[in-house]
Amino acid sequence: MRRFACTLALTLVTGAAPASLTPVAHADDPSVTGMFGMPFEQPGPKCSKDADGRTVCKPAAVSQVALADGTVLYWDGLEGMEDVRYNTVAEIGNVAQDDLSRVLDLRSGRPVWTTPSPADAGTPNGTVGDEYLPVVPHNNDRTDNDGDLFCSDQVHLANGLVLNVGGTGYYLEPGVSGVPYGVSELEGLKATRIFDPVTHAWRAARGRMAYGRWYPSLVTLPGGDVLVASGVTKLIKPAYPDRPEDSGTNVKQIETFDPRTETWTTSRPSANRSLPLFPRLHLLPNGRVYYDAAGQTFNPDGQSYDEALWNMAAVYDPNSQAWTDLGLPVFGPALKGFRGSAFSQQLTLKPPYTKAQFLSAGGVYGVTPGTYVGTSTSTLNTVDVANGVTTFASEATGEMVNGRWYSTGVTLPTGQVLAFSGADRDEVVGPGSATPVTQAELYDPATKTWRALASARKGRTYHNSAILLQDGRVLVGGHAPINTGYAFPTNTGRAELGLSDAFRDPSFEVFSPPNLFYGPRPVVVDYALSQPYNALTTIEVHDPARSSRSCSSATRR
Amino acid sequence: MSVVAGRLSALVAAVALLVAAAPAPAHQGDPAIVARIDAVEPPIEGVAVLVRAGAADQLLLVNSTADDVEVLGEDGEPFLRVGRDSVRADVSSEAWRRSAGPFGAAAPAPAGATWVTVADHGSWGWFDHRLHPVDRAVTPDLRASKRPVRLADWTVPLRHRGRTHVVKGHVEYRPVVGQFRSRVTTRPDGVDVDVLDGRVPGLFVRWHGEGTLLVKGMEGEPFARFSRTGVEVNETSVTWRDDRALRDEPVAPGTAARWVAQGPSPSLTWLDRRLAYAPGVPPDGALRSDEPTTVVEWDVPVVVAGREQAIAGETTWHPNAASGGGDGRRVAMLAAAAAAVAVAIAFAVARGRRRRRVEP
Repeated sequence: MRRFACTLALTLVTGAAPASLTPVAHADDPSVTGMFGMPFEQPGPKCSKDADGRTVCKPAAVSQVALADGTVLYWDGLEGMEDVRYNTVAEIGNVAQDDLSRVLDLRSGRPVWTTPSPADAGTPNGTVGDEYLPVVPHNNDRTDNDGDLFCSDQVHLANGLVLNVGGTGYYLEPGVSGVPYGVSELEGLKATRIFDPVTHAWRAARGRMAYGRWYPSLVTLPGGDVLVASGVTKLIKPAYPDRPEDSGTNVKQIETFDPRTETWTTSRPSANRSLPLFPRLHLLPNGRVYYDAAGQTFNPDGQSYDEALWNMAAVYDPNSQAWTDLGLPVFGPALKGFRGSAFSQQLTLKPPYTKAQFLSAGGVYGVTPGTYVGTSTSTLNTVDVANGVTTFASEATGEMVNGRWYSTGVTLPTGQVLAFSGADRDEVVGPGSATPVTQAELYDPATKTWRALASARKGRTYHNSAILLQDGRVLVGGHAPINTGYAFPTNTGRAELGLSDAFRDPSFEVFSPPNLFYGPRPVVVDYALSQPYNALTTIEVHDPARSSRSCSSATRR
Repeated sequence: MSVVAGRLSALVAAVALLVAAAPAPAHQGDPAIVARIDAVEPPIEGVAVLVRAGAADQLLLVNSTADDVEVLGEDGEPFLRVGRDSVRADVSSEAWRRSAGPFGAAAPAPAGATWVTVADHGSWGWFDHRLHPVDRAVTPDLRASKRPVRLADWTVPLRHRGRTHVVKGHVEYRPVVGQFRSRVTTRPDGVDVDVLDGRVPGLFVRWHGEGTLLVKGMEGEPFARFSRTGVEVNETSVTWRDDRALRDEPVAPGTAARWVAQGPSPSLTWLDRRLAYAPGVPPDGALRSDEPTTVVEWDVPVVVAGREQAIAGETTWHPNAASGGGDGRRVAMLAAAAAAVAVAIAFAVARGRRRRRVEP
């Protein structure tokens, strides 16, 4: 406790978080509740003005990627929000900036930051300009916000590179060059970028997508190709006089990336399907792609005339390029259908690896008009592909301790699932109107129940993130909100009611899950470097009797 | 005045002109203000008209008939001709030029008509500013009441085969205070049904009985046939065509049934307006109540082994549940933020005026 008090005092005096990651004392037993370390952030002022008078802030970890060497790539979102003077809708298309990336290294026990080259991921191969409305004047005077990483998606390629797809291009439409006010448009990019985790360099891939996508989802297929689905090409005004069939909807076409040629191929029209933004997609054991009837929504406002179809869990076959409807997942005890702004975590596969299970929790119910209060319900969907037949089952599983919107899920090596951060209600409907949910929770598939864990010290609502580190801990970060009430950022509500922070938060917290406190951790003594498929293998650990049961040996196929 | 200042003034003037010339979209950035279609009178077989929501609502027309549909401007003259395979526009008309943008601004149009083919397909979407009335506003009292209200009516005339038709609609304030949910109350043996809630709800039907299940459509027409070996749909069914139109995959109309296999599994998903509460806004009694109110009792006729039956259900308005307290203060806080914005804008405008006054 003394250490905690000293650390807190240091934080207050210096205005910066301590670099030490040493967990602080907690009143509860960490083997039950887990433990959060003190918040820490990159040294230096939180924000400063550049030569042009723009506000440049330390990046918040809106997106994180765990790299093979144990470091973490992350990048910011919604940079430039701080420069909105009156109205976010009227100005962000002009004042937004391309978000910056960083690499965080925690391996030594003290955080070290490096800046990728270029920090904003550079000029992508798919920028704005293809999607301006005919006749309507636009203002794209600021071109340093035309290649933003914000709202892209990313996966690792088999060669260790990171593939990043889509993103945001900002402008005003209608707008007039020279005038910084208009109607802000966020255009989905066709961009395809590659990050090299060895050189920390960004570059454009050889090919770009055929469709601009803001909030797409990627899935790596068994052969190493990568599938992209959904996203939207124009967020604010998806209306095209010359092709109304694409208006008011998200991108229905599916494309596949070949890592060898770095080019994309658009699937046949039979592959087209209306999906929500950032659809929760997973690879099934039989190589098909599963849609978990969940995604990102701007509840309560709807986004597509056929959005009722988003309620349906479905499977996509990359070979036949066709979808099969599976059924409607349950939503709590009485409802069925779509879960918006919630996470969907695949549980750990078990032998014989034909049954995949997906846990989705929190969020809001329905497509439109939806609710905006975060739910505490969770759902376990099961897709079984045994004997070449796909069956679907859905059950309401444990109730969470907190109703939570926009939480992040992390699956632990134990098979348990953690929930972090989020808010008690939808902060896209009412930015700045929500109370942060700081308490972490743990789902145990064995008991199908949730229980409360320790609470984070920082509230992280819109655009939070969390990933599993190689040492079994979890890096929790992010928070880059829309300005209060779509106006400008003000923390009056935070001071008066404990509502969410109106400003971005560049800090991180490291969470040590309960299983790290069960006792001595196993130390691997010996194992065979070469492992065959479909065979049992034994990993020898030091003193297995004292080690955690689940980790004393492992079986892999 | 410097060159830069001169250019800036010109730009500001251009924007001022743009704003002054343009009716503000009905939305005003408020997603609770929406345009809706009430009817096309008289109806046109093979022609679908939809409203697309956006910063400014857009009217869409899909024509699958052999003859053009003309869209008439406010002056009664046609400015769009939507055919089955192409769309032509009078690009000289003011109506056309205003319809291209969400704010309706248009430079002066040259004299005479100039018809140009603008698309090689049978559909078009345009910003029809008759959907964006400028003289109606949501007053603070109305906004505080959280009650939906009809703000204005609008009409858009069409001409097809020499006959005039009118698309009738209205603009309404529709605050989000709850949602419609549908559920199945009765289903024949051998039929499993799920409802897909949404703006236009859907049904997911699976057949595992003996023989054939025939589902009838919205007009009583044969719509879908289920058997152990799969499902077929009648592509000329008004129900199927409506489903496809809602998915932006329009199907040509026809008179004779045209059955098409959909797959080997005896299951089918489609969007079905029979489940929707047609006015879109719940009745006053439902809005006043804190409890769910059933607003539609619907049924979908089916034939099982030659026997007429139905999949029946109800659609209910569910007011949003209490959200954990403190809503009043939250709303007050956001209102304070909005007020701060208004004050800031007023201050900025006043400062701009003062600056202009002291400029030589």
